[in-house]
Amino acid sequence: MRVKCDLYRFDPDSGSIGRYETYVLDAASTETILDILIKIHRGFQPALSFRFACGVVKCGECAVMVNGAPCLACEKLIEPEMKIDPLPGLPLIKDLVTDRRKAFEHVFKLLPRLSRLVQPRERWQSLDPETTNRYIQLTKCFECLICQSACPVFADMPEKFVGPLGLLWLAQMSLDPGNEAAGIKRDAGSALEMCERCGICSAVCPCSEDILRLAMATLEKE
Amino acid sequence: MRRVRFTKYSFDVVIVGGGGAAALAAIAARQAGAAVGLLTKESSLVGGATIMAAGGTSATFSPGDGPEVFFNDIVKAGGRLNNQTLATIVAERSVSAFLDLESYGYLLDRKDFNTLRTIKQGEGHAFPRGYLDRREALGLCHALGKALMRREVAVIPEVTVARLLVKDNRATGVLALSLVTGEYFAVEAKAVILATGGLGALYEVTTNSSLLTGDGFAMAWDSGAELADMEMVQFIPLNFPYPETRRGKMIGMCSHFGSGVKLYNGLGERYMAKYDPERMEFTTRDIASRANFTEIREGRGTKNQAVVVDPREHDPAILLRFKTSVPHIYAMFREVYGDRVAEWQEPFEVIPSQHFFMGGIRIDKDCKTSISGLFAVGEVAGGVHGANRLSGVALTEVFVFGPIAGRSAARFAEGEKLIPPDTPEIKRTIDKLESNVMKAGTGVRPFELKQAIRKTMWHNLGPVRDEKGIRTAIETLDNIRMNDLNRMVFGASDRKYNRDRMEAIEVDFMIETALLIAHSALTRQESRGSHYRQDFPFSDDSKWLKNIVLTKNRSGGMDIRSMGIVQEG
Repeated sequence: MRVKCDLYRFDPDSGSIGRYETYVLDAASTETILDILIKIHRGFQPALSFRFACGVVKCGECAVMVNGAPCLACEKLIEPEMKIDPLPGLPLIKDLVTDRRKAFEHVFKLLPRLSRLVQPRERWQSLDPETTNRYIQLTKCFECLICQSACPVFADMPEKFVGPLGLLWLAQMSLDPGNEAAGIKRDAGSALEMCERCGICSAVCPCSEDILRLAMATLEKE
Repeated sequence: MRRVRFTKYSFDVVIVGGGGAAALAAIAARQAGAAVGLLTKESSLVGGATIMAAGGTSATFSPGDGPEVFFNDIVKAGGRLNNQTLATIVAERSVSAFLDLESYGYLLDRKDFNTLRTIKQGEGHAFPRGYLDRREALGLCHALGKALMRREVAVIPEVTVARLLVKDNRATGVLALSLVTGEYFAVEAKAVILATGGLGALYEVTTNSSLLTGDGFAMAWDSGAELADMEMVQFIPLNFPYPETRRGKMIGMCSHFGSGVKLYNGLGERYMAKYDPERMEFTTRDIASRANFTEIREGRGTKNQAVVVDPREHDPAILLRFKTSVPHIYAMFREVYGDRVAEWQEPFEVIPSQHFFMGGIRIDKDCKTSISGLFAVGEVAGGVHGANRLSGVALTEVFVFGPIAGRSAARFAEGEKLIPPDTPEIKRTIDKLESNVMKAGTGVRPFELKQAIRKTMWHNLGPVRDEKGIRTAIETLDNIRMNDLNRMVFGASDRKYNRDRMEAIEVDFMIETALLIAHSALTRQESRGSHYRQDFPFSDDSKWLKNIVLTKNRSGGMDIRSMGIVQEG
């Protein structure tokens, strides 16, 4: 099939403004957005900046917006017409590449408890099956930052709010017997107050399980 | 000469690599008090082949099992080419190194209060040893990533290390290119750990990511370090044949489907009888890969150049285990083949694919290489697995040796001073790397050369090899090196986030590493483990029960020696 692709191009250091470049190319219906980006980079626009690593829906590095909805480029199949943008709400490096590292460091800064060493514990600690199952679900996250990017509260107050990813990390920590529960509860309390429960994060999350809703439920139970 | 500038960082220990081995080495070096920098090609804190792992970890969990039995299995699978000292350490510490992971904030997947959830028995293991995790390796990678941040390891993301800096047989640091800024920087360090992983990207079909371009082998070789068993490339029999994005990505082995599974070629023949009449589909991964490769190459594949797995005769409990213990593969399975195949109600097509690399930089029990101050760990280091690797032992090796590498590099750094890098030499190197900036359209782009390398490697140094094919590959690779490298261009001259700048460095590494594989494979005139020579189909212990060791000589040529196996002790 023939596909039309509008690609966002912008270098924040260049002094110019962002623009879309349009490419029309042939593709098979089984191809992903990542395949198309690679094709464009090889055949049409070698200066295009885009990011990927594993290519098999694991590392979360290739997250972009396609026609206004966030997705993992290596998972999402092509459409006849596509407008491809970087994830909004995150610092931009160039074109489709956002500064993931800054986004992670931001959460760490707001949650100093994350930076504390886990308490020394028995190497093999008994855990009840229910806690284990929940912990396993909560740690299936791709860390793709799609939730963070889509959260309206995070967009409004990025300096104060840890965002859905921060809440997920807090929920993970709250179940780990190596952590001090009371402190996590305090950190989570203020974050939970800021969250508006709009559910956008869990709607856009590419995980097969609703881990962000589960994270909220875990923290609220605490 | 252009005016060349570069910035400089200093650490006690610098680690090159983005997977589990790099992370564990970094954490251990930091715990030992060293200032640690970690340079990774990715933007994730921990990725590499580790994040793609699905097969789990093997350790002596079962009653009655123990280090001696495990060691014997590892060495038997490895065609007795293993470095026995290293294999012994892996076998002895498999359980303790695995349980240690919980102290980094990674909670293991438990069935109930005191037992791990899934322990599976894989081919070649005398006992059930394979721990499987419902998160596959995501939980591990993200926990290690947070441990890196907690311990203040300076992680520098999205950089390609272009050169190892060595002075008088002593590693002094590295020279790297930042993909993000397009600028070069030098890192001076008292000790350098290479944890760059494998070389899947040298092959047309591979389960690995495209970032695994053999960087560490090429850099170690260039600096004069010894490399061993470079002919030992592992292939895995069952992988997706299509679509293009998923081509070569892993499904696994026939054993995943239980005892009723059957393999057929395009003519409807159950061909495993020709290759292993006794074990049939349950043969080892090297024989199954070779069989699938041969059927397809000799024209007996399906019209999609694949062979067929029929899983219809199966135990529902095994299907359930497949769904829960490799959820990621299951999801992809459904995506590629549809619902009926996902429920194992229809046959499906598969191809063999490159999976792992057993050879690599020679190390001792402390991960020291033959270059002072240079350490290696993980897939880039050779020896543990010999000529073939058992399932689940790649991660075990990482868990056991990752911390060993970090501790011994930190210990080495303690008594050393920083040796400032040779600035004119660095400027010359950068200038050489940058001389490729040419007008687009006048030469050949890095990806085109990569495609040529990947093609010749798959066809001539894949699961089936012979002298003629290997010589063809060497000729093709030499030709690329002589005639194409000097006309390689970046498609665009932008500095920031220009993938061609990174890929140009990778092309150099790929050619060097590919030639090491080819020459080593040509030298070993027998078949052993994963190395199968059609023209020498049998093992010959009297001549070849020894390691092939490659080093660069003073004139830049290749010294090929064979050395006795490193015995236990």
